[in-house]
Amino acid sequence: MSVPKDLKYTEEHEWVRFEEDRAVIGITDYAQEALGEIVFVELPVEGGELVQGDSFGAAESTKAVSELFAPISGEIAEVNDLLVDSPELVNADPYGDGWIVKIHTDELDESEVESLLDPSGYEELIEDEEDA
Amino acid sequence: MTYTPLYETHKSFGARMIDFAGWKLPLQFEGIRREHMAVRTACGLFDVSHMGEIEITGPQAEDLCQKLNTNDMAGLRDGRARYGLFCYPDGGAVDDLITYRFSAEHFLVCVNASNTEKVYRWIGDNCEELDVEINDASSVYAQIAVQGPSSVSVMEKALGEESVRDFPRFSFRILEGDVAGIIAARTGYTGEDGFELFVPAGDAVGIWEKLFESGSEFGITPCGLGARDTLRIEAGYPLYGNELDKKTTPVEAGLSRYVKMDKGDFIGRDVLLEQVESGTARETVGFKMLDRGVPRHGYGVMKNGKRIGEVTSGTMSPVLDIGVGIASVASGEVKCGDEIGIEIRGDVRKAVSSEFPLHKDGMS
Repeated sequence: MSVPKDLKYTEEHEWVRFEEDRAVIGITDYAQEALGEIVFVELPVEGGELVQGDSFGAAESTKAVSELFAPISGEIAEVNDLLVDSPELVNADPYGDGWIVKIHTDELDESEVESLLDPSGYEELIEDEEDA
Repeated sequence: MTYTPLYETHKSFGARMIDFAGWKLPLQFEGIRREHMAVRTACGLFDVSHMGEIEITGPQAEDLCQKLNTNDMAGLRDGRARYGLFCYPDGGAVDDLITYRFSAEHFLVCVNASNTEKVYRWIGDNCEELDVEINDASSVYAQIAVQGPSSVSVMEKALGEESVRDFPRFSFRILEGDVAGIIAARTGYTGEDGFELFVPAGDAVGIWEKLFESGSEFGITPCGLGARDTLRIEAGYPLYGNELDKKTTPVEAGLSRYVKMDKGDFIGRDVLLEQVESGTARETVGFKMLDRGVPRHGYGVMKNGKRIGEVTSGTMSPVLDIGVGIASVASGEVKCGDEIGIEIRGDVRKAVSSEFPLHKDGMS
């Protein structure tokens, strides 16, 4: 199970990558594996707002639906339109082409960023879930 | 937890296992969509050993089957199988099942895993005055399904020419020779041609391997419960617990053609007859999504801004690549081809009411 070192994570299995003036958000390798083949991603609209902890969409696999929860708050700069026709990208490349949204980070709330898990914290979390 | 005789085989194939009705079963092997499409275009191999098998034998076996089943078991010829339901006196479903008639004194019923004990007790509770014997043979048999357009070729190569010759749909036979003891039936739960094999548990691994090896040139693919569910939803087949339960009658579930009023009395007949004659408050319809989205069990069904029912089963159709589903709605509200709404996470998405099977072409 891949947990890249340069990302932050949530307990709901989203990841965040901080780029220059954007934060890229997706679901983790562990999440896509647990969901199985993703057949539909419910995307938010550009210009909308993410609020930390609130649902902003959903990833649907053949068998189940999993809501997507915002790791941090911010205005949506871009959504990954490729997922409309190719939701399976989330399975194939969860940290790359399978990203879900990008948000503006010019008004980033540092306390929200601090609340995220670092890679080792997230690894512990998924180990606990696998044991459960 | 109960393990099928094929558990180790599935693990060696890399299956993802799940717990289902007290059984450890494969959810998927290589992926639900791929397995699903293999069944629609070539052939799929399923372990359905969790299904229950109950034998009813004795001089009055036919009488008991007639009393319990909504369908006609006296009009059924030896060597033929028939779908039907057991109902409570109020018409609610005990289970839906296929009955295999060996003779007037020997029947086998194949029931849902989650209902096996309940059905066994139900048969026992209703046979007091009849000269019959009831035997739960579920642990005697593994059950392997071979489903898809290449099924005949696979069976012929694996089990011999005799195994498929003159084999009409819904007939069955006991195989002979080196595959003796296997009951082969031309039945299934996928909407495709195919066979279901009741295999003595000790022979299951050998038969599975034989089918898999012989089937490779015909594109055989091991399939899990995930594909079994998406296939049956496209085909419009009910699943007990979704489309049917003790509060839902076969008439409400759209299964009236399996309820034979002219065969004489059976348990639940009075209520079902009343429902056939006077109608029911709800009925079952199929639908296809027009907007994007995947319908799921429990989602609301809307028409003209009013909630008229709910989705009983839904999935993304691997064949059509759109959401499809089965819904229970207020009677008379929806005609085939009508636009309806499916409430998905608070949003109403457009869908169209459609005939089964849902995966065939056409939008209604």
